[in-house]
Amino acid sequence: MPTIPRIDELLEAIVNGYEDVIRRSCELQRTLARGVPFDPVRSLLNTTADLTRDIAAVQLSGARWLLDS
Amino acid sequence: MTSLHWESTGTGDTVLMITGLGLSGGAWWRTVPVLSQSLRVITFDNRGVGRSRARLHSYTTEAMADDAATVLDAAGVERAHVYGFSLGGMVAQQLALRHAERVRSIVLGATHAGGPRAVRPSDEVIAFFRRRARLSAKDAAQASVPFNYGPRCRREHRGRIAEDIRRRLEHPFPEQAYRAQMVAAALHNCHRRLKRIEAPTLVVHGGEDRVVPLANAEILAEGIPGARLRILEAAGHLYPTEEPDIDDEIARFFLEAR
Repeated sequence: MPTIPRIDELLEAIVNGYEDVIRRSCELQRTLARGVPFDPVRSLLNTTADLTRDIAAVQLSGARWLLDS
Repeated sequence: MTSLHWESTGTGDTVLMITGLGLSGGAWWRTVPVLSQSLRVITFDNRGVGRSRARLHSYTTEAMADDAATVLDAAGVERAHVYGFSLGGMVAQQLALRHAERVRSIVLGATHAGGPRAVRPSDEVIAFFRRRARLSAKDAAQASVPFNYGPRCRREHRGRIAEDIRRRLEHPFPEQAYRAQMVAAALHNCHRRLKRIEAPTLVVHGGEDRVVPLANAEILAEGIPGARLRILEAAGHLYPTEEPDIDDEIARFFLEAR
């Protein structure tokens, strides 16, 4: 009989999946930045990658806080 | 323009040292001479602190971990042992999770995993750290002594404490960087992911730590598979000053974890 995942396990999997998406998005932005030979576009791409990471980090911290509560 | 100041001492397998709140890499001055007898030791100033410069400060331990990985890149190091202390220990956890392939082993000193299960310090300690950003560097260093050091050290090793403060004041930090690091520490939350840390781990903690209560070390050691816990019963938060012999044990841990 298939086991049904508990709701917190399901939520954790969603949070982890979101984390993976963010990581790939940041890597993509940084790869694009490396391919751009001129500023300020390169700096802008690196800054948006940093912001994407940091905003998501706050969201993920909050989501995991709720899961742990 | 962001630039991170880093220094390398000794030869052998590399240990990356990640320091605590508002401290520069120079704060490792007691530990580096011991570890560098058998290892290459890399210290660095976190973003906005000491000789590192930053246009934007790091407000998350994730960002600080990425900075640490950048230091490894700059030093030409693929994999390193990592020793994180206090806030640096939180960054070390993130480094082990975000860049697992770069981490051989970890020592987590006087730190916590974050999240709602983290055991908070007393209201007196929290109030002090909020107030500290408004004090001059010298006043803050003096005022933090009862919080950073255990009673035995304050009684028997005043000279060591004075030397710590003298060294710390060589690299004062801007208030903005301090506040950013406070935010990073407050947001830190690795509790649910500790089970994902695969690197051999040693958790070291002072039994009299008022800044990060001892129960946090137990949470870390229980959560990280195979982690060992070493409690220094009479030591406070800054145990490297109080129990300098621990550095030999930490060097042995790194050498055995190759």
